[in-house]
Formats: sequence, C-alpha cells, structure tokens
Amino acid sequence: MTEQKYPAPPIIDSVIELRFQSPMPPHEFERVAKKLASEYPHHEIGEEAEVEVRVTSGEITPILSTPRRVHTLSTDDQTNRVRFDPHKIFWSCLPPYEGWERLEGRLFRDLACFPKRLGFPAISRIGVRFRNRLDVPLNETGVASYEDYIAVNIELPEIFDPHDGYVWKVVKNFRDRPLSATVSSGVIAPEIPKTVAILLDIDVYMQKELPSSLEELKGALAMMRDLKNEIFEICVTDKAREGFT
Amino acid sequence: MKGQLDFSSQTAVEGIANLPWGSASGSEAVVKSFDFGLAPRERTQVVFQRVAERTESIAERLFDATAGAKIWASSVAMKLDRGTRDRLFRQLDNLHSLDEWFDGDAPVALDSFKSFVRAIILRVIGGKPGLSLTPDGNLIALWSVEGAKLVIEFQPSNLARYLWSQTVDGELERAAGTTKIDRLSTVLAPLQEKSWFIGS
Repeated sequence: MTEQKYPAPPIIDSVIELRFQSPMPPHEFERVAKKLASEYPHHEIGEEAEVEVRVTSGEITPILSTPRRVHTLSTDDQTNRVRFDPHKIFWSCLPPYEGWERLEGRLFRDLACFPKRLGFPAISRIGVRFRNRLDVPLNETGVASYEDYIAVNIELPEIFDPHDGYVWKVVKNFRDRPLSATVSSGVIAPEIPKTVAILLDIDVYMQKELPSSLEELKGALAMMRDLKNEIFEICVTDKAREGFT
Repeated sequence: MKGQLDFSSQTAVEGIANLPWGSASGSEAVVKSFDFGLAPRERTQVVFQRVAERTESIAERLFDATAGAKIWASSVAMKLDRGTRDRLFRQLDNLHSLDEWFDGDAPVALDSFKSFVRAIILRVIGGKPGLSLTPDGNLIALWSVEGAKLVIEFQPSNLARYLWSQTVDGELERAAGTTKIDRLSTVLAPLQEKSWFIGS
C-alpha cells in the first residue's frame, strides 16, 4: 500500500525522465514502443523537431532538425502517461497523485519492455521533477499573502508591496551527493476563483555517477526522491500544509 | 563554480507550463514544450510538435475533447473527492460515446467544463446532476426535486446561466438569469425551498 504524507498534496505534475547517451536505433525504438503500447490503452504517435533561428547581419535563417518519432501512451483517465522518443523517455503522473511507489513501479515495469540483449540503457541524465501549485486565498482587499504559504521569499523594499507577480529560480550543484537541483517559484494563472496560484517547481537531476543497472537506478531514484522531499518541506509553511488534507 | 549558473535544460514537464509571463509564442496546438532556462545571448531553441497533420476523425475529436477535460481536471484533482471525479469522468465519457454521437454537435468546450468543475470546488453546486451538452459544447447540469427543476448552463469565463422552474397549484413559475459561478449560491438562495444539491 502506498504511503503518502499528505492526503491531498499540491502536486500538479510529477515526472521521472531518463535521457539516453545516444539515440536508440530506429528498429529497436519501434519494437520497444510496440511493447510499451501493450501496457497502455491509448497510444498517440507524433513527430518532434527543433527549430533554430539564426539572425546574422539582418538575415534570418531557420534551421529545422530531422524530425524524430515520439510515442505518447496514456491510461484512460490521462493521469498516467509515458512519452518515448529515441533520445529519452519520461513517465508522468497527473493528480490525483497516487504516491511515489506507483510512479516508480510503472517505470520499472515499462523498462522491462527494453530487450534484455541490449542491456541497461546508457543514460546521460536522470531527472525527477515535481511541480506544485499552492492556491492562496485573496483577502477582503484582494491581496493574497503568499508569503504565509511559501517559505522562500524575495526581500522587497516597501515600494513594491503589494505587487502583482514574482519569479525566482535557484540552481545548486550539491557537493555531498551527485545531484543538482533547480527550484523555481512564481505566480501563475489561477485555477480556483478568488485565489492566487503560486508555482513551486522542484527539479532534481543527476548527470554524473549515473547508474548502470536497474538496482543502481533504484538507489539513484531513492536519493533523488529524498532530496526532492527535503526541498519541498523547506519551501512550504505550516499554513500551506493545512491545505494538503 | 561560485557565481556561475547552470542553465542546462530542465527535466521535461507534462503538458504546457503556465509560466508567470504567459504562454510561449505560437499556437498552443503546436508548441508543446520549451525551456526558459537558457542564459542570455544563447541561441534560442524551440521544440515544436506536430501530431499528424490530417483531418481528425470524429473519434479523435471526441477523444481529444474528453482527454483535454480530464487533463485539466487533474490540475484541480486535489480539490475534488475521488468519487466526484470518477463520476464526472464517467458522465463525460457517456456524453461523448461514439455510438450515440450526432455529427455536427460539438464536444465539451473546455472553458465550460472548467466553470462547472470550479463551481463544484467552490461548493456552490453539488449532488449528482444529470449532464448534457449544448450544440456549442457548453455543459448543462440538471437537478430535479419533486416537480421543480434547476438547469444551469456553464459558460466560459466562470459564467453560469440558470433556469429554475416549478409547478405550484398547477401554475408554472420560472426564474432565469446569468451570473458568475461564485455568485450562484447568493442568486439561487431565494429559490432553494428544497435542498437542490443533495442526492441526485
């Protein structure tokens, strides 16, 4: 049984991403996609390309990369998805969040679709990204005291109080573990009337000492999850936690 | 290195990010992901997605409409109880059944669906109303209690158009209007002789 700290966490999406060191060969890629499709009721195939726009001496040159196939597979209610292209694969879970074990369990189930003869895929980056939305109620004067909900705030001179939006972003490469984190926050479009929505975006990633087996991957993900949780708890206040029930 | 920021691209997100400065340029249908973490004077890279440029079949239109509604509903799922959410999704699927779909009708309009769900979250409506769609795709909710009926059409921008009717001594009485969803309780209060929003 999945144990969650909060019955209604403010998570709006959760992603675990693996980036491959080199693109999968097309025929292996399509074989894996076909096997993955047997695990999900819905399957959408698309193409993705990067557009680079170079401006030199007033001349604009668009450069389009070679399109790559993208498979997006999802459950009926669209809350559980996996997106797979030759360069990376990511698993996502939309609310209601059903716990880390469910998301991780799906990841390892789907990794079993990779042919054993290929071995564990060589990975260049692992990312665990959880985005949270705190819905801060407006008071009678139409002001939302978001600083009562989020513990990391910008110290502003009085001339900016009250203000109409903010953004901050912090990047840290940890010295005591092979992890980095990008944490950002800002005002986003509200979904609930008479509230201000505050985004808390926590992206923990690993780019060194990468795992080379499923067991090592499990250990790496556990370490990333712990750091993600530690950052989250530091960034929210007890008042915010009252809303997670 | 102290003072040097790493602007390498971040882990993917699901769906379109609602960034404080508004969505990225270009059609939402085309731009699916982007990364604003690039350092100044870096070359701008934008990833475009194209999902098969061809005419959508009816089944695909219905799937896209219901999928879009469900994906949005997930963003407020923490405000909905599981039973309400599951019932809502079932009703949504029933409304968009391919076997009973009439060509020319519009599937559910996302902004109408949002107004409806927000009204549930704000607790200005409740119970288990019957649902249907207008030809434009606006969601209509219907409650009926002992000879009285309340019909609310949920419109974009959190608007609700209501029609109340009851039969008293053989005479039909009606009241109608349009209001913001957060005003529904106040506006409907004089009409709530019975509790509209309990049960089905």
